[in-house]
Amino acid sequence: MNLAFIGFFITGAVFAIYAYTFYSLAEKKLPVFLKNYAFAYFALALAFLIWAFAALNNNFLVNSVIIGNVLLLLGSIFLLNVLFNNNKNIRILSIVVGIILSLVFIWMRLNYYLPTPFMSNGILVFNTQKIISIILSSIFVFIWLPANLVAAKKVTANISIQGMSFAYSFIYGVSTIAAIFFIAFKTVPMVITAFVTLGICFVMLIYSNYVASKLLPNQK
Amino acid sequence: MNEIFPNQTEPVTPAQVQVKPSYKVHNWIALVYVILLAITFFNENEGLANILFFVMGGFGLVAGIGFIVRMFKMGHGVQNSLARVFLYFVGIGGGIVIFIIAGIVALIGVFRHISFGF
Repeated sequence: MNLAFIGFFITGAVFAIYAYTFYSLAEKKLPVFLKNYAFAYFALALAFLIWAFAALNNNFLVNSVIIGNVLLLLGSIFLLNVLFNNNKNIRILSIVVGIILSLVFIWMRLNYYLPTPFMSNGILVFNTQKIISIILSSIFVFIWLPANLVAAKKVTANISIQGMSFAYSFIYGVSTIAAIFFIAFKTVPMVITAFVTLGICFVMLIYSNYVASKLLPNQK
Repeated sequence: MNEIFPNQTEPVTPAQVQVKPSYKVHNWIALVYVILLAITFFNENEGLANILFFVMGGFGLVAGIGFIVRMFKMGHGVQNSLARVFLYFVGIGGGIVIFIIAGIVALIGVFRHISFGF
């Protein structure tokens, strides 16, 4: 049984459902710029689905990691729109810088830090080099985490129920931490543990979208 | 009406003000936790690392229980049933996540051969 395929496929599907439900929310009940947030998670979902199919075809493993990294960077650029929505100039500057740095990262990945993933007992271990792991974790800490918190704040801005803001911020924050662990871990028990954590987080996130859709008033 | 307790029309009493610093305590605990984690990652002494991991594992387990209790208390005070169930759900889900993360730390503390694998 290929656990990696099942795990990545289910998680990718969960990410896609989360992105879709958030996109629907952004269309009806949240500021429109938050659609970028949904696009970022669509990119992440696609990366996970690609890894799922790579787990079935080992010849595609290395390329799948590079494609996954490109999608992760693409998602991060979408999130820059969320982070710097208030200031147009900074937003454009950050996107330009983001694209340039992304190209440098991919060039580094192709020429100096080629991915070395492997399958172990049906589990896909990314085996990311330390420097790449630090860069990817930094992207999560400095872009995905703050963007998640901005989204949490925007979602709960019109919900005047005590504790909701805290609950949303917690889920969005802890999901990012789980994602960092998942990318950084190299051993099978740790990968499985991080996977379970990430799965629980996204079940909470999907449920949070359902609750928000019921509690938020329509925008238009 | 005041900023700290929006539903209260009377001035805040000193006893009520004493409640607020507890949130600062949480921040300090989180900071100490992160410092311990950093020390553990970069230290070469196996014995010290085991002790630190044990302490952090314990910290995490207490934090998990504390989180569940906190979310249930929050949910208990909410009128809207959908929001109440959501807060309970986050309490249980979040508690499990904290347990798992704490469990990782505690496991590594006890069985050093299970490395983080960074």
